[in-house]
Amino acid sequence: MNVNNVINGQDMKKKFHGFDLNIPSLQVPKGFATALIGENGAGKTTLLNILAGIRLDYKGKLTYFDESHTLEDETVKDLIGYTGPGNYYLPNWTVSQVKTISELLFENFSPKRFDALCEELGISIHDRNMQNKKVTALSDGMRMKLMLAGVLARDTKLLILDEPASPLDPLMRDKLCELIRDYLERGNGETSVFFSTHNISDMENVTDYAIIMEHGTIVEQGFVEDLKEKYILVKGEKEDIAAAKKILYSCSVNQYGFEGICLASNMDQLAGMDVSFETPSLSQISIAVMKANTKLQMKFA
Amino acid sequence: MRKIKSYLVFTSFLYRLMMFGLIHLILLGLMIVFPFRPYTQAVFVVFFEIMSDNWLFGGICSKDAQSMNYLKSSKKGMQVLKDGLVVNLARCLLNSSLWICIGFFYTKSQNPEAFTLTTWQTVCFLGASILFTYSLCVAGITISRFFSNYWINMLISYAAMILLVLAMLFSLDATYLVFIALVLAILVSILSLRIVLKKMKESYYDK
Repeated sequence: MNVNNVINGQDMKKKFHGFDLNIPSLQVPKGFATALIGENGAGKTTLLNILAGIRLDYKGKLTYFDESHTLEDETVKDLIGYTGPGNYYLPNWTVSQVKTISELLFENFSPKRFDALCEELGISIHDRNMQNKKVTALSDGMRMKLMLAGVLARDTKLLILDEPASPLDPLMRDKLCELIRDYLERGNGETSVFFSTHNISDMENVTDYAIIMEHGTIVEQGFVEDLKEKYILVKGEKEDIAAAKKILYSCSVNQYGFEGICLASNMDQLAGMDVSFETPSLSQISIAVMKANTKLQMKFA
Repeated sequence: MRKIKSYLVFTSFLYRLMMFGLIHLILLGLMIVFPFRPYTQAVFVVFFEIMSDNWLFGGICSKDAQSMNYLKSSKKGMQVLKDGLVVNLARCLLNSSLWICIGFFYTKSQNPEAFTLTTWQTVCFLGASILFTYSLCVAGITISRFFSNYWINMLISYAAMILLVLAMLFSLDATYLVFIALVLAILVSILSLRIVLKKMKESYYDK
């Protein structure tokens, strides 16, 4: 598939606190929702902070929107909507202050759309108590909803969302997927979403492209459909475990047999074994790839 | 107008109620109750300025607040913050000027023999009092911004009040004092601004 990229990164490097970010090439396709997947400490937040322009200590080349802009071009930040964990808002801010400050910070912010989004997300923006409530007094989920309302109320071309689903309940995660789909549809191929997630199974139905990170580098990437053709889910009998483990990326064993992921190109190596093949989910592929690259001590049967 | 808006966006409803309403009523009351204590207003201006900054930029230089990611995600973030800080300093100077002048002239009206100064001496005296009070406010505010704890804010405001009272015990020629106070006021203003903006710039880099 020949696609343009909303983000192009080359030779991106950052070193700090014994952690190395080393990404020779980064391409985030335009017009799609890209999921950045990785275990804790993989470098997802570090990468997203660099892409959002809130961390400047890195080496390498980074361009946006068909390679026509860099972060030095101040208009780029107007076109990017970023949400992140940690200290996003100043602790003293109230909900109504967030709206007022957003109007001042971003020319493309629509207060009416913000109010409508807040109501849609269950934030009673017209309630006096809610307006005067400090952002620190909100639950993690409510704060994430407020952040999402803030970025979606702007006319942007790219959303960079760091763990947007983590603090949300299952119903709200479904709503988040709906919001992302609406954002992409309204953009008509010109808008893109790049989000990091641990909730792969919840976010899979909105993910078009996946980037899997481990130890500060990209270990796998591709359109989800292509990844599902590249990898295969293998299920087999217990007696074949020893032989299958040599071929599989990951293997989980139960009393009935084994289940694991392998490259589709290695399927013929499983000939002679009593196995069945299925299309894996993105979650299964991600876990398998992460297991193959992790420093965590994983127990195989 | 835009700079004033940049300041007002950092103010909550409670802050505006206190700083633009309640505090002035309290200072007025103190002036009426203690008419022969002209420095009561100055001492309490220092107290209220340092305490109320906790609701404005409280803890902005502390480790916890250094992220400010929402401000940093906008191209205007640094400028909005800078404008807000500058307008706050101007407001603090205005507040100090207002209450020291009101206190001085009210005391003089109640007791004409209280200050037997020439016009020039009056100007220098008022100038020195205003600028020194302002400098103490700004110094206290700057230090308190490193802490997000409300009680530490209170401690710093008490210390500033004591410092001001001690300073009043020294009777120096106001003609010289006004120039010292002017230099001090300029220095603390620049330092206060630079410290916060430097912290914000530093937050773009992981240590």
